[in-house]
Amino acid sequence: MKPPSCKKGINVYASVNALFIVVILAVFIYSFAFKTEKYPIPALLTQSTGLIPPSRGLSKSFSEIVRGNISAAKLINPHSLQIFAFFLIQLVMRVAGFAAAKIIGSPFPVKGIAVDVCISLALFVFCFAPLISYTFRLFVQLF
Amino acid sequence: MDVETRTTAGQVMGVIGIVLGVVSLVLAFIPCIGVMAFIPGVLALTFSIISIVQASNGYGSKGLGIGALIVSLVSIVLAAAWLIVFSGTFAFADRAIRNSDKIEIFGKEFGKAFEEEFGKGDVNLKIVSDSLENSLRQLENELDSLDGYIPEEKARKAGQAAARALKKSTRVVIETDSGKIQFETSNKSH
Repeated sequence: MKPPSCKKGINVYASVNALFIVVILAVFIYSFAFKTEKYPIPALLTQSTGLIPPSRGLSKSFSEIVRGNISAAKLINPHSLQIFAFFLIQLVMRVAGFAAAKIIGSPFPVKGIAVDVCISLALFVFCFAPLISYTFRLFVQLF
Repeated sequence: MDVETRTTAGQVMGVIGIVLGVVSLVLAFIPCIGVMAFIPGVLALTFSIISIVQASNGYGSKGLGIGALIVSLVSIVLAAAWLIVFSGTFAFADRAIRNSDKIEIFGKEFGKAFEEEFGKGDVNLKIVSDSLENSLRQLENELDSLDGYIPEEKARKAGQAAARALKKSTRVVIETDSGKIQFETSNKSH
């Protein structure tokens, strides 16, 4: 059976990039908006179990980074700079990806998407390494 | 010749699913809020299933939906593991909680001794603060890797000894029933 033809659809790659831009900007706006001792997102793990993970103070550190207080951020959480760098690099990549998707049009070349996914994944593993290793170390002990 | 053309069926749901799935995966690797990955994870799973069903019925591409499904499943598994940690039903969690009390005792005793040792104003507190931060993080990591129970008295004494050690630029070794914790500092400010 022949399926119905539909040549004009949504630009998937551009849409994905646009949504990620919104999400990353939301992270930055959240960091800029809250500079108090009471953050809307609590440290649930510490509150529930007493465990002190390497992500503790990340919101506070991000608040300091967006205000340019790099040394203060580093003191609050030594991993905050590399994690913040991930979001910043991703914002640049998503803007570039969105522009490329608009210029090239739909469908975006699969090779281009594959390169993007590989770079983003490698960047995530590199920047989140302390959190990833802590998470897996904890889970290995758990099971 | 009839050329089969893919439709856009299920693409919108797939896009929402993949974005929520990635957000959920990132959240799952932030220990403080890892359990919150459940919310976007379940939403991503729902959207990805809808995407696959719509794509199947409307001759669309299922790739995006399958990608979103895999990412959301991984994040849900991680969030479920966090839930077990949060619930504290396992002996491991119990041990971790018991030792975290000792970390608190350690911290209190350390704070008291630190004030006594450094209250004389003859040290560069900025350098001490950096050194202290790094040392405490190393100590936390080492405590996390231990299975054993740390006796309360030992934690108290260790806190006092660590503050003295920081002052003297020496190191402290705390022996537990399952290993050693080394507290070191390279502070040269005094």
